[in-house]
Amino acid sequence: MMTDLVIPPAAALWAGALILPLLSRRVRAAAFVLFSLAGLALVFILPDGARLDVPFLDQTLTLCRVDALSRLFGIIFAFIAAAGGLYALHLRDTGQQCAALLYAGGSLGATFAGDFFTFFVCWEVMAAASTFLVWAARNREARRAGFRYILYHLLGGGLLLLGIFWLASQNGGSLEIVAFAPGASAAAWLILLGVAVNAAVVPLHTWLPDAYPRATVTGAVFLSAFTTKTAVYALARMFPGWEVLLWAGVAMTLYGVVYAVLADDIRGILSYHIVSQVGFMVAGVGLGTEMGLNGATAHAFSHILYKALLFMAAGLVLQTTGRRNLSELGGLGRSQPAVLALYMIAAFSISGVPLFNGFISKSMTVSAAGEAGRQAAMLLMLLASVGTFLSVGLKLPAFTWFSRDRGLKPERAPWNMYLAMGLTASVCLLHGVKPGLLYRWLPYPVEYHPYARVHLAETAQLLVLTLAAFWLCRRLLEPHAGTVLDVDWFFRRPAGFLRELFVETTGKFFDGTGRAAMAAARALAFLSRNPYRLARGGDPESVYSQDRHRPLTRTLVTILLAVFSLLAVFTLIAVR
Amino acid sequence: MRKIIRGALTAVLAGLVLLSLAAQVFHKPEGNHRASWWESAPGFFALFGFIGCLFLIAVALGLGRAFLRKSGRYYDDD
Repeated sequence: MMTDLVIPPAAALWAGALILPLLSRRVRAAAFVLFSLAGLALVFILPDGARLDVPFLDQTLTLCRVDALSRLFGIIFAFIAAAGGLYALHLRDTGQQCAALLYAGGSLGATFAGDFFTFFVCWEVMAAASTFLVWAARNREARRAGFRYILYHLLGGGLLLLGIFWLASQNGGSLEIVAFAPGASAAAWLILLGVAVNAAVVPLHTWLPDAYPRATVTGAVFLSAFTTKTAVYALARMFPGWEVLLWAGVAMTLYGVVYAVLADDIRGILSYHIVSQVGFMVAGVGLGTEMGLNGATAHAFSHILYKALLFMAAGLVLQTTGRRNLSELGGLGRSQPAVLALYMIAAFSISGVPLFNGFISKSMTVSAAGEAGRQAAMLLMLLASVGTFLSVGLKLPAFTWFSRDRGLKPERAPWNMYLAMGLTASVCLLHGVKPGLLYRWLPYPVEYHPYARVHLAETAQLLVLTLAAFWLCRRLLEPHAGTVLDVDWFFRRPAGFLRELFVETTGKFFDGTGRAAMAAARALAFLSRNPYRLARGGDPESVYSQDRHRPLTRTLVTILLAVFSLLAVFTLIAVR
Repeated sequence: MRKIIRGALTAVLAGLVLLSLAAQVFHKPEGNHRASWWESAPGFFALFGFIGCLFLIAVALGLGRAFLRKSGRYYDDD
């Protein structure tokens, strides 16, 4: 056996997280990129079918198991970790760097995990490490959003663990990850729910548009890549062909685009478009056909690239102008033409414009729905594509780089940010021009031709007329500052009342009881401190003194005599 | 200058749509088989893009005006 040669790719990144703080401060950012590249190299050199089994208690854990699906996700996770590291090369923040390495490592670990225990551990490492990328922004908003984020993921992790335990109790303790038949068991449903939290399936999605826009500029790039796409991988691995996922996915595609029309924060718009784009992948998995799964996988790959690039561009705008809302931005095209150009590559990719990588993957998923006879799902996904182009391809750039010139004077951005964006953009273009480069890695053989003439004609019509409708309505789409309510309203709104009831009221009751007890004790102490003074009057604060307050002997003798006399008289009367 | 660019762009895009319509009319689909009438109806996707976009804007802005959009800071814990 060659098992001793199998090194899980996650090991490179986790080792990096341990070693990084020991290195000189100046080389840490560069080392980050190297560790990510080492992970990428490991993904490439692992042979197909390689596995690493480790005995643990009375189980065998499969720390690494390689097939086409896990390899494809592994490649893109490791690549984007390196690209994100390059984007953050100027950063001097060891906490963020270590958290990002742990996070990316967790994502790789979960991807190659062959058993549920390993999968779960990596899953939780991701949840914890990613929270630090939100908190690292070090402001009140980020702190609060980070708490809501981790609470949501603890809930998802809890559901997942419960499902895993239940599953293990049913099938004789085996923890091996296998695909569940649709609606297999209650345990499978619990696992599905846990994974759905991370996939941001509506209505379990609010942690995403809540936390991502508040994360650090560099942290959001990592966040945009790992959590949701690891969940997509898990869905493709465990739940192919679950009908419920098809409709959940379609709902996500539309939900995200509707909210993106209303959102004002540029990274908020992009966050809602993660929900929308992941919807395409979830729907592809729900179809369960070879083409659907290929489409979901290819779209996850493309999406990680262009979405990271979108977050890089939006982050650069935020970093150089200090503004994050469309309603405060405008006219940056003159001062940041390169950022605009790079952003538009990503925007055309996500919108499915031919020659960009979104076109070759999204259209595959949509066509898979048609091939499977799902006309309604196909039409609704096409409608969502229209919405994607509307918000990310037109509205966001129009109000950031064009529109009203607000006279902003953006600072200079470090060169490495541009380099990372250029690198990511070139892969987006490369895959758009040569789809075969991506298709050859897909889990099933591909017989799909995105550049069929009919398909090009349809796409041209769809996009150009979307542009026309946008142009007509551009005044209506003027950004507004403010809050857009999402389903988190149902727990954030009552949160104040519940906090009042369970924290404030309980606290007040506790305080009140304490105060009453202290007052009672003080009163008792007042009574017992000097009883003589209470009877005789005088200074109420005087302390009892044997010499001053003890009664005279004659007083005691008089009292005793009087009592005795009374008793004697009473006895005589009673006896008679 | 802006006007010229805008005019040129409009012309190019309009030409693209006309070209695509012509392609749909004169070219029988190859390879990917068409499952339904709407996929082979020329201009369906143009209509769908235009009306779909207006529909999405209307739905989003309608919901926003009705109850989703609140001005200022809405949540105490934000």
